[in-house]
Amino acid sequence: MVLNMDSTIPIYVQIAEWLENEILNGNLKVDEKVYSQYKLADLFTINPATAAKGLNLLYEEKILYNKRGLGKFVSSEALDIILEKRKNQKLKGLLEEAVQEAVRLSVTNEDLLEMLKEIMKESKGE
Amino acid sequence: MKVIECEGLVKTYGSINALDRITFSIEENTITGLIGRNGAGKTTLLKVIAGFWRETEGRVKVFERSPFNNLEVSMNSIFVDDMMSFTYTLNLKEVLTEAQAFYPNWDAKLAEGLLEYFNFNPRLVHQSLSKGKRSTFNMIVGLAAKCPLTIFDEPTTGMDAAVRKDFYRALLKDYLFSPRTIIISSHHLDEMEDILEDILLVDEGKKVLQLPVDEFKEYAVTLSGKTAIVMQILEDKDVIYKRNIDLDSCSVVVRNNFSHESVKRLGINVSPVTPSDLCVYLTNQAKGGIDDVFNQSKSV
Amino acid sequence: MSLTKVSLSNVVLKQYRYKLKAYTGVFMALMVVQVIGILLSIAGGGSGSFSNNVYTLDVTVSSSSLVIVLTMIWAFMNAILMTTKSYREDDFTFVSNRLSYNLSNMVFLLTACIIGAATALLSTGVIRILFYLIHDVDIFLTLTYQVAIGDYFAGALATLLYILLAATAGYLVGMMTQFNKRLIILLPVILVGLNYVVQSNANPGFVNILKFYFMEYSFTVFLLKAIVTILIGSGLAILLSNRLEVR
Repeated sequence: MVLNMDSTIPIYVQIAEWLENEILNGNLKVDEKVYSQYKLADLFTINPATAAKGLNLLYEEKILYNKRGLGKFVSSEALDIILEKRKNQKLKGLLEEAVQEAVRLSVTNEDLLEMLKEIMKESKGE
Repeated sequence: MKVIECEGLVKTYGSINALDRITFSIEENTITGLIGRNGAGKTTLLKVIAGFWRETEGRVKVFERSPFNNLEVSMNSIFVDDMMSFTYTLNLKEVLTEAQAFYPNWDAKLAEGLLEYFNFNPRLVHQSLSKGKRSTFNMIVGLAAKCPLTIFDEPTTGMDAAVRKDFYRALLKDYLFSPRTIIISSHHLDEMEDILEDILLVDEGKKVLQLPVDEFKEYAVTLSGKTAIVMQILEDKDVIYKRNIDLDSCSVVVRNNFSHESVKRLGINVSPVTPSDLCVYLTNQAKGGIDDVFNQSKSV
Repeated sequence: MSLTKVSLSNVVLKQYRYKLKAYTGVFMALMVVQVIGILLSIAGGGSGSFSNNVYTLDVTVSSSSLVIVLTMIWAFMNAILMTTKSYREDDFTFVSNRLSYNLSNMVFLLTACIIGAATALLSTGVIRILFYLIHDVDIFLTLTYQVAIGDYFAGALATLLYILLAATAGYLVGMMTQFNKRLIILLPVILVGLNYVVQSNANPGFVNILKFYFMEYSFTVFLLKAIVTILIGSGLAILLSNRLEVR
């Protein structure tokens, strides 16, 4: 994967998200060692301090845990935490944007809900 | 450990203060980007640090020593710029051999590998190279010397985009392999910001800002929307730069130290400011933008 | 990354070795200058003619004086050249401070001057042979066999010191002009001016300076004068350049 350097999302957050994705799709398993800040820096051509910041972010969210002198490892609750976080943050954020856009376009609440149901039905049908 | 410490550093030429009481320090084993406009004092600062030029006033310490005329500082640092001079009597290969004699950490394998990768004819002399090639060769010397303090002053002058990209990658890889303190001054902040740890922004011989790159990226945001509404919320904000688009709508760059939610709810768009844009805004305040020049000449 | 400790002598040695490889032009110039000197010596040469009614005696004197004088000029010019910006920048591209830069320059100049003096002295033989081949010579007189070996070495040492004096003068003048570009014009003006001021019948000014070194008959005194002058000149050059900003 290549980072989006022009994105509005800071690089270290992108690093954290990339690692989360690796955990989500099973490339990184529970109690497995994750890439060091230097490996990540080499992979993405970024400063190792930035990579360390990304790792720290996940450590603070308890997705990773520290083994002294060995590096960071995937915690047993990692998957749950990521799923919960994505639900609460990303999905909520997307919905918030949708609501704001609806207000701007003067779409009523009922119409918006109707649209949502429609989309859900379509994606289930496929 | 701090590798460089400057306190109230002044460098005067005649009546001009090229460095005007600049105070900052640089930590060991970091990559710092020295950013500033032309004539901001970047080169002067680096040459004082390298011990080439003598400070007029204030204190400058490199490896806890005064750098001017200090052999130990010279031995442990290298200054790379496009004016680097190599004797015309030795060819590139021979120059590298000579450099090896001077620098204890010299990495001959790296030097040879890079020389080959960038398609140098080792039998040429430095003076016969094109501008970009010369910069590339200087960069090779700077990397292979592996000095605890490595200074690049506008290292990418004349390099094409592909070589620049290779340079940043080579620099980072080499830094990961043998960590050391690196300072790069460059106009291409957007190209190299990802490999930097810190940014030091200078203007008119003074320090404007010194921050980790991530914090620099989040230092300011652009607010854009209806002029009336934007002006209203500006009251409690630190305005960095105003850019009127027209009477109806405007966009203003402000310090990013407030909750975005409340502003967004007013229909104002909050967007990030790239570090290179921020540098331009922060060093632009007094004179306004280039647009002002044209607005003025039109009204006269 | 840990700091590397350095010693001055170590860096001076490295710079000296570098200069031996890089400044080949100095030795090329020496060759050219001395060949010109040799050719001029053969073409010219002091001559006189004695005659009585029975026969005429043509005497032509050949010597390597001209080669030595030209070698002195070479030393002077090269010493100036080594103080110029481009040479200095070559040094400061790698490890250097002002003292190591000066010391390595001086050791290099000493080396070059020794070589210059040696070849200048050897040119005497070349001149004689060429002279013999080119001119129509009946009797070849040479003084060398009468010169004691000690005197010969004294002569060689004197030659070297003259060349070194020229180099020191060049180095000091060069360093002064580096320190302040205006000295390029001011220095000759001051010298000539001073000369004019102190000049009188009893004291012929500028000539005195030359006399001081060139007309000294006691070898020991000359030795002392020359060595002290060289040391003072070098010391001054080092002091001057210690404040010089580079690159």
